[in-house]
Amino acid sequence: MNSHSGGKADFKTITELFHRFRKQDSTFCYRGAFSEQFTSTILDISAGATYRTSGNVNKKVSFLLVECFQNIIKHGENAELENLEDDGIFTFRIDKDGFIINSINHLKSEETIGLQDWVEKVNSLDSASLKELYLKQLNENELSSKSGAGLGLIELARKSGQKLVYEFESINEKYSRFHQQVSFIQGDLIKNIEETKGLYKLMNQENALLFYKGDFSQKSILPLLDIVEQNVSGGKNISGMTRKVAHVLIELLQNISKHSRPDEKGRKEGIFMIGLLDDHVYLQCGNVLGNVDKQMVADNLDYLTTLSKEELADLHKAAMKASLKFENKNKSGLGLIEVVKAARLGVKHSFEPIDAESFLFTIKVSF
Amino acid sequence: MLHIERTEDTPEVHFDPREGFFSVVGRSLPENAYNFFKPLIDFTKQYVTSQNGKSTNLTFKLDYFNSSSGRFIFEMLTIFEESYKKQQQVKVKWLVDKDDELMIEKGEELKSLLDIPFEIEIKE
Repeated sequence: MNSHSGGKADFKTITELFHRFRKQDSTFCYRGAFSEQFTSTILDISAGATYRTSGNVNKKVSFLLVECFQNIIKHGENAELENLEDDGIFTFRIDKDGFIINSINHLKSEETIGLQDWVEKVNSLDSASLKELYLKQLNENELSSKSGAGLGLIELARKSGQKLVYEFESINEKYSRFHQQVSFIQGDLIKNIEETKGLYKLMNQENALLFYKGDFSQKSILPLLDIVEQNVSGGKNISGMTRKVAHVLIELLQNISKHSRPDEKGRKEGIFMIGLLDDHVYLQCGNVLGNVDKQMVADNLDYLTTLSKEELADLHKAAMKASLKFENKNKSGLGLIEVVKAARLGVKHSFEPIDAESFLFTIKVSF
Repeated sequence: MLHIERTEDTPEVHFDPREGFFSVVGRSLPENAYNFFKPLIDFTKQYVTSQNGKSTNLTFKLDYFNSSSGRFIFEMLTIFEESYKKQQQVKVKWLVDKDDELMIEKGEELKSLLDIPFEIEIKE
């Protein structure tokens, strides 16, 4: 089996992302297909991401999320049709100050001037004038296809109560990127455009579909599973391969939820990324472990990854039988065996010291 | 009778002792599998004490289940295995889609671990 303790290169990006977003409660970044079917899933993820931290996502935040995402679906250029690398990224972050949504999408360069004028107009108005403009647009442009974007941006400005942060970036003669930020925060406006560009670059580099950092409660895990399943299967029927990926995903994420060392706020934090590399799906997870757990996981993985497929199957059977005798009904030791067993192209892992007592444990499973 | 509706992370359970019909359908990935399966295990234990020659059919049609659910599905089946060894009639039907490699593997593993009539039915 081609499994071993990984080289640093395998975990460079996920480690970097972990450190970069460590201070934030949750960060979610999506670089998959921008299509309507994911709107509700993204809402579920945001609800899961906030449920142990800053209370439930309130209605305003839900509205902003949906409006932002649907705006891109409606007005962004479709990667497949236009032969672009991706649809862009959609990301949100939650920290003590509030909720920030950043997105990058493609549009035809000729459309940038009109859009820029419009955003500037929206940004120049106070709330009373925004309402007026909104009602005017509603009456006048009902039948125009462009009115959707116009109305959408007014609504984003009205509901967020903050200026829209934006930037245009030319890719070539035909296409540009639209960087947008909608903030729902207390205090001064924070600009995340540059940071989001950096995130986009990393996501591109890894050909990542999704990245999530935050609390791994069941409430967060289920919608993540949903979005992964639908993207990996490409909207077709869920295939055997998708099921294996989903299975490993569940085991790894529930493992984080069970074993991660709680931070000072009592959250069990982790980081998770999924993508395609050379046409193969890979999953990466990371979480913080103390010394004792680190040693246990290391010993376990070092052993498991030396076993052949048949040996793993035998070991799993033996562990099933043994688990019937265990006092602790929720600890079976089966999870890691199943992960290694399902990984068609191997498992790698690494530990990086964070401080004297804890390590960032990262694992990469390839299919 | 024990009937539990399907949720987003637990399967539909329908145990009908009068008909000797037991089915588990859906996906099973609860965080705490013990809490979910404990009533099922208890119900099964109770049932086999009064099976009295009744033929029992178990049907599993699972999309997938986490490792801890797997442990309890196995435990439940071992209870029926005991009963089967005491000359009771028990049959397990494991329904899977043909490209669901993982669930086929899981079915085969359970079959090899148990001394009980166990049929893996692969749907085209």
